[in-house]
Amino acid sequence: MRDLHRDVNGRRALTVALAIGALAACGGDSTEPPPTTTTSGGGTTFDFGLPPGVPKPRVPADNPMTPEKVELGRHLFHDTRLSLNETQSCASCHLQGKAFTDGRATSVGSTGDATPRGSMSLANVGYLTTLTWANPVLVALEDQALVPMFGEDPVELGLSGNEQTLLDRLAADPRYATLFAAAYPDEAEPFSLASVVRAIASFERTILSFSSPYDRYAYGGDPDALDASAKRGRDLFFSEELECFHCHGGFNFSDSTAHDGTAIIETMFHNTGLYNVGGTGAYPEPNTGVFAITGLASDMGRFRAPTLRNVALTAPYMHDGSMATLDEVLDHYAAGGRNVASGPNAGDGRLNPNKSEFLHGFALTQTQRADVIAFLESLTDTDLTERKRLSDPWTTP
Amino acid sequence: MIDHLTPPTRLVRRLVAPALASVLGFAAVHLVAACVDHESTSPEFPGVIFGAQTNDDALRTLLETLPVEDPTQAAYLTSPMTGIAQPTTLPLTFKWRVGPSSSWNGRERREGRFTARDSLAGRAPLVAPAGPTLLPHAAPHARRASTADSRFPAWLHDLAPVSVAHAHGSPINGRAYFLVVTDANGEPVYQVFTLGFENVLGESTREELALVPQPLRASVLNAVFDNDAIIPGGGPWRGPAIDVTLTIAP
Repeated sequence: MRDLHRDVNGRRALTVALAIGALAACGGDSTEPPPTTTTSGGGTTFDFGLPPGVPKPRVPADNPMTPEKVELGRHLFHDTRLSLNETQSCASCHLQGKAFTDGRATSVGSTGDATPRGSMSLANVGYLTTLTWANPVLVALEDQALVPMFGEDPVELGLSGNEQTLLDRLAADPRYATLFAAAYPDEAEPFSLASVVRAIASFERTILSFSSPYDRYAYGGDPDALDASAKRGRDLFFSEELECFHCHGGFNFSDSTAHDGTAIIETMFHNTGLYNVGGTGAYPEPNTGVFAITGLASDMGRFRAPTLRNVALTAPYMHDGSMATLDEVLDHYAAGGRNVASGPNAGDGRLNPNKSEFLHGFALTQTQRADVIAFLESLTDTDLTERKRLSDPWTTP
Repeated sequence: MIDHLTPPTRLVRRLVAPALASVLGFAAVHLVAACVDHESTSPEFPGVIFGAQTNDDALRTLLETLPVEDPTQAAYLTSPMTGIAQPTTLPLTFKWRVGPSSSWNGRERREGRFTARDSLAGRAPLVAPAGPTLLPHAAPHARRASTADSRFPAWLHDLAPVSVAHAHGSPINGRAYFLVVTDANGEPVYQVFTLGFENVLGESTREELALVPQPLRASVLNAVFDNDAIIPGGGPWRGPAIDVTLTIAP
């Protein structure tokens, strides 16, 4: 889902998502019995292969995890036939080698439409409480998948009005005949839009990243997994002086995280003082953050804190890709915001009235800066970027 | 290091230590502000040494949760050797790591397998709550813990002044370890809550511990935290104990 994080035109995208989501729900698929085997105790569990101490992602009751559905989702995720002109797939903007981002400041749709925001990493996306950069009501992967498929402004995969074309394409492929039948064995007509998005969402829930050097050190109990610099950087990262952990804390380095069994779901958004156009607190259109959804002035410039896992692979940074390096990002937070000196977006973000209280600036020595970078780099999970089960099945069996 | 100094040198050190403490302590504390461990002033856990980035909320959670038996997730002391007897003039460092061999290897882990086993049902039975009783510290005066990642020289731990604990400081994310050393009667005499993998006992601490009934018994309780809460499946796990006998050199 290439635009798991772009919802500029938020209201419109939301409308599309909700409308199609409602359509899917009306299809009756949710009433189907889960396509899984049952145990003597009556329960079934999908093994995510998580390391000890890592909670399971939340899974909606009407879309239980099965290996067959995950495998189908993997095929769909990497299939360019999911765009009308057959040039792009979800993976076009979520490349495995870049921790499921695309390396661009902002992405480009299958028809050349520019999207105003950067492709967010899908690593551990199953734990997120909200999806996209700034949409508090888009909370289900099954719904979100519809946005890039059918969104019209911007066009991403360009399938709006061509739902049947998509389904016909898929049904014509013998490989899919097998995959859909295996994934939905109890459904008379497995080729449906709902089946497509449920499979893609299931696959996305298996995009898990818990094998970085930091994980081996902090969670796995391996004292040799981090070098001294990264350890010092970790102490700085979690210090009250830098405040990073308030928004990028927890096992997923994001405060918009929940897992199976989480009692209180938090949806957090933050204004990090990137802009203050004309001193009014405004962010450049159309990237106004949660404001685009709620219309509340206090929501201007508020975006979700993305996970920092694999952050060394996910440049450029910020919702609009306006920072090229981690050094630039540190400069920004050290200054307590960004002062745009000239141009149409001129204004001192440090003085943005909606800026998060955690951005008060800090001073780092060169050694400390290197330590923080070393810590951030220790969050790189090469298992994620090389894992065969997440790779393109059309080129890699 | 000081641990290897001859007795006359040790005497000199003791004379100048108070003077040095005020100078070096101030400088050192500010040099390593982000890394230095600190001793809790929380009356709830008297004598417990809190390592950098730990807090008493998490320790309370750890001690209120029944340990789970899982040898692969327990912390094993790798130093010193169990049964060792040594004079207090020699350095003593407790080191540990998780599991007989680490199970945290993404390349080896299972992926997407479907099993009927529920994760909770797959747990080993709960063991009896034999958690440590939090008795007052055997050495109540100022002391700092050290960690493998600290830039704070080990010998400064006995010199630097006590800093006030952040009883409700930064939340713990990841695995935290509670090292408990008990005397021969089972009374806790030295306890450290840390995110690190080792703890160095200063000379004065070794001398004090040598005075309690021997042998000492040490073990590590650990758990995986997410913002100070133990996450599902995150323990705690209790590691096996080792014995150490400290002797006072003639």
